Amino acid sequence: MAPVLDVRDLAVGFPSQIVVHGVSFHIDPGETLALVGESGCGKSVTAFALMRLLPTTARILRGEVWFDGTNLVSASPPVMRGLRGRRIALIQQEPLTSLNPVLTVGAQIAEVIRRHEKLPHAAARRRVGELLDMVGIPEPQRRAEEFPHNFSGGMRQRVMIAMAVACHPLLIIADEPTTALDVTIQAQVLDLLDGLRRQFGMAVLLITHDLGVVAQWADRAAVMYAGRIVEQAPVRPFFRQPRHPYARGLLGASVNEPEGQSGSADSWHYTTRRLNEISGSVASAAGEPGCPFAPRCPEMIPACRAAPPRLEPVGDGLVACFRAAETEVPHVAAVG
Amino acid sequence: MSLLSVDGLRTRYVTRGRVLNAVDGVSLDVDQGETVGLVGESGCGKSTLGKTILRLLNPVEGSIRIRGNEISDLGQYALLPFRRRMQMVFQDPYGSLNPRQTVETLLTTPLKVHGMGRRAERRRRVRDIVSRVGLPAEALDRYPHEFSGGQRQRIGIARALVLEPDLIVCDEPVSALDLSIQAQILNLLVDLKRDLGLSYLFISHDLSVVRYFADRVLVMYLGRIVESAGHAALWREPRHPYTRALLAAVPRPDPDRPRGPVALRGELSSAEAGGCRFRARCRDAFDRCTSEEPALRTVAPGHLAACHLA
Repeated sequence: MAPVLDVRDLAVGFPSQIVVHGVSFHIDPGETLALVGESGCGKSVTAFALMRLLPTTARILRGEVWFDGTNLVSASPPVMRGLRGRRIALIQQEPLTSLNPVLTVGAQIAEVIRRHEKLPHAAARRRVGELLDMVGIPEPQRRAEEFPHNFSGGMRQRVMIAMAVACHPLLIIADEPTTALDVTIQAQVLDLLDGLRRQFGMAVLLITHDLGVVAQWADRAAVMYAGRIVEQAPVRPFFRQPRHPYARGLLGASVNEPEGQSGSADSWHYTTRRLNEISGSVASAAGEPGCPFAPRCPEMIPACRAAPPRLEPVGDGLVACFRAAETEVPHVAAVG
Repeated sequence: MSLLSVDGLRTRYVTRGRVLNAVDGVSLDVDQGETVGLVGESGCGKSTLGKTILRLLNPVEGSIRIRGNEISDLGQYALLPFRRRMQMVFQDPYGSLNPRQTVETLLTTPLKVHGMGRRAERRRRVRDIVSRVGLPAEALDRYPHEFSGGQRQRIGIARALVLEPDLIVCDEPVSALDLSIQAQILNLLVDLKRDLGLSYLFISHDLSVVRYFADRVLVMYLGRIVESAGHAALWREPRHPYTRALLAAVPRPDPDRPRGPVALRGELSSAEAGGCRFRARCRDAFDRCTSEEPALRTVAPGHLAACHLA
């Protein structure tokens, strides 16, 4: 089956620095791929580059983004406008800033529909009601006449989801969709998005920093570090045996108990176990030729400082680490 | 005697004539050397409670005692000696440090305000605290913008520690930080507690962090404590339906352990008069929940819950 989205060697730069260094990944129809990483790793810039919504100072330096037979990197602005909102939709982190405060939510959803499908007003309004009902907003016809500030954070994100699925897109890019929400609301919103994905057979690119969200709602994970994908694998093998030292470090740094250690409630407490730190910070490797993670890596060898490792098949996934093949230890031992 | 003892505390915001009791009758104790976690969703009043305890906000009712000394009605001047013993670490390491002051000034100011030590003594103390929180001595001459988020949080912690307090109220101290940095800061707080005999009131919306970090946990909902228990008991046997729902909603980094269905309806809204404030979202609500507000009562040794069914 041909992938919905095929990103090949995408690089994005700002005048002062390159922030995405040749990223490649694909998303199959109906699949959820999680792009995971910490702030500044380039995950959001990657998403904006796919949508061609980068800030004006940023440039796509090289690479191809194939979506539904079109290379988005070279597509003309009218072609992109025809795709955005209809075939690819974006859900952003903070719905309050992505919604227009002076228009009713109904008008904003109707605008998306009428922009892409020549529907009469009354029919568009009915569709808006159906959409709001579908995303679980009570009294949809009445709420459609209200403004974004009348909605809570979770409800606003539901409105954003209604807007995103309005034209049944092939792909939804969700950029930290629940980071601003409480944990109980997060679960509701992600369950809703996941349900709609199944219902309409959409693919989802889920951008997040939360490994719990990845484990529960994604099919595959791609871990980014300093503008590169360092590991890519289906979630089960990824959480069972993360191969890249950074991925292992992240799971070890988590305050959640890892897989298979669901023993007593005491086992994951500061009195019994120290959290695994990843020393230093992302800035440590700025301007060095080798692996960007080398300065923080507990398994660094001299070769790591010479050139960045390429993403190569290891186990069930792809890993960019010279030592990935030899480090066949389960991560639990590495953490201890 | 507890280090901190709060009883029947109420804090009220009045906006355009509308009264909101953000903290609505809270009682709690923090013992010497204890870490008490305070967990709840946004808008539940947990930050307001933390600020009221430090008298950054004034309560309308109730008592706050530090080692038995009532401080809820003290004036600003009388409060000074108590302020020295309770400090706060804020969530946002970007917004809570004056961008125009060097780290040395930031750390020396509290000492001056409290008239502690002579110049040389203050310098020694500031240098000592900077190395304790894991910053290099060169950091003293630099400004907050020259540091990363994690380092700034270390500065915030140093500022809280420089007065040698007994109690630190940490308001979401790691929420703004990346996972790898979060682990560094939590480990630092654990080390400092051990080395300096500190007590923490640790406020967070993140159950996983509280689970790891707290000795005892208080769960707050709409201005009230709804459950209080030792960390192990709370996770093994949560008694309040809200606590259970919160625990169930935390996504675990384990694809083979799927979450249960979301056990909670609707969203946090203001409390309706009378009855249990959680009843509108509760799956188990029955007649009595509408007519009678459940009191926080002991359901097992050291375990309290405010639910008729607990």
